Amino acid sequence: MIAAIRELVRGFSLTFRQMLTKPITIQYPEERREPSERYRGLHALRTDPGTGRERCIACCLCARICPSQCIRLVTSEEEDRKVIDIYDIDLGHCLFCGLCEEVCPVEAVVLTRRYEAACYRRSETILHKQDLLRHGEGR
Amino acid sequence: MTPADLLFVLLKILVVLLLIPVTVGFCTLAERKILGRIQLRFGPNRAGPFGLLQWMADAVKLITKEYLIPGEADKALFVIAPLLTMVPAVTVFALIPFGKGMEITDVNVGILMLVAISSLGTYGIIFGGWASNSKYSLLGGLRSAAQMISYELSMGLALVGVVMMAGTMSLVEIVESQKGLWFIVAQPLGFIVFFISGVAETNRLPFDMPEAEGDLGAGYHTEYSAMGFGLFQLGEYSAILTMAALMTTLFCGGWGGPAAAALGGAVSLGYFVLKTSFFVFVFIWMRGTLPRVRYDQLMALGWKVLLPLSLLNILWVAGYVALRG
Repeated sequence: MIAAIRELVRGFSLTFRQMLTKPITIQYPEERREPSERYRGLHALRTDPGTGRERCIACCLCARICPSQCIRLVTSEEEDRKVIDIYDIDLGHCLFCGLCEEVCPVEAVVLTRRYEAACYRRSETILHKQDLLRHGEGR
Repeated sequence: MTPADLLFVLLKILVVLLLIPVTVGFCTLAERKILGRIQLRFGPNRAGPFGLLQWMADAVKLITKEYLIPGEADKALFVIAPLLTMVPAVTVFALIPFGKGMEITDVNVGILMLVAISSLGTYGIIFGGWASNSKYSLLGGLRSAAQMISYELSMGLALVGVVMMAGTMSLVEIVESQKGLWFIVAQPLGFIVFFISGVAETNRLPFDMPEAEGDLGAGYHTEYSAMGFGLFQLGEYSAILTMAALMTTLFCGGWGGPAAAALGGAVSLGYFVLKTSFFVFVFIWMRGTLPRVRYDQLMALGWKVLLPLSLLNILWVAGYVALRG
């Protein structure tokens, strides 16, 4: 009986103390969670900061290693190098494993810490080359 | 009674009737806020400053939604049932003295009337469970009936202690008779019994057997939508308010407090509101702390613990009254 009452008092005091502490909720649109350094979010294509040209050499290794085969590449040749015309990543299939980033010999494709991937249309789940380049700005 | 008196009474009824839904609204908000804080959340904070208008948004939502009546339901009972839970819970406020000289009516058998009215609320739950023609609802209604029978008994016996000590059944006079010593001090056992059975009567956690979303899927109001559900909620929270007001009135000196009798009016009302809100808070706090008891535990507590305790309390009060003369 005494033990039961002690347990009750413990429970009630715990909830009372919890009530006085600060909520841990992140109020999303106003506050945002800061993902960790190694967070694997949306993809980006980096450009060379010196020349402003795309880093990608169109080796297609990323498309080859991708386990869910969600990268579609169409390449063509310019005067001195191969370039990509189409670089589509289907986010509906991507599992954000980061293998594309790891395999890339010139560190052109990277995973950013961007995590807001919600969209209104299914077609928007496919990232095109210009989206990827925009994500990669300043990286 | 002159027409002016009648008008005054009607006015008082109107004020109380208008205030109850608003108070209930703030109660639901307080509950969601406090539960949120206990669970390290914020609770509603989008509608208005600090979510203060959330209850209005909820009300508008409930009113504008479609009132679905299941095809197999007993239509008349299905519509009447939510009203049957709400009306008795609100009616009880007619008897409660909110402050010095602030009561709608002072009935000389107040306590009897109170027990009679508040037990009517069960019918709403039973009818709601029956009329829905769904097994979960029916089970909820049945549980509610069994729970009410068990706990009304010990609650009534706890009230006997109050009546014995006060020597009157009028709620106004009961408050007056607690001027010297609150009954919670004079008969703590009676208060404990009254409190626990009060929680059970209002179907609140840890005794929310008729609702029990875990095992019955919201029990008696599974099939209710829109304002039918809203009225059930209104009834439930009015019942909580009533119960908190009763604990204040019967055991904690009602509107009494330092200088309340001399200053009267607003000060006494303030004491009443303060004490009542404390009990409402305890109700919510309890919901955030205790898990739901098992059904057999509920029954065992009612019959094997509370009933003997309330009898013991009557014995204690009898001795107390006899010794003090």
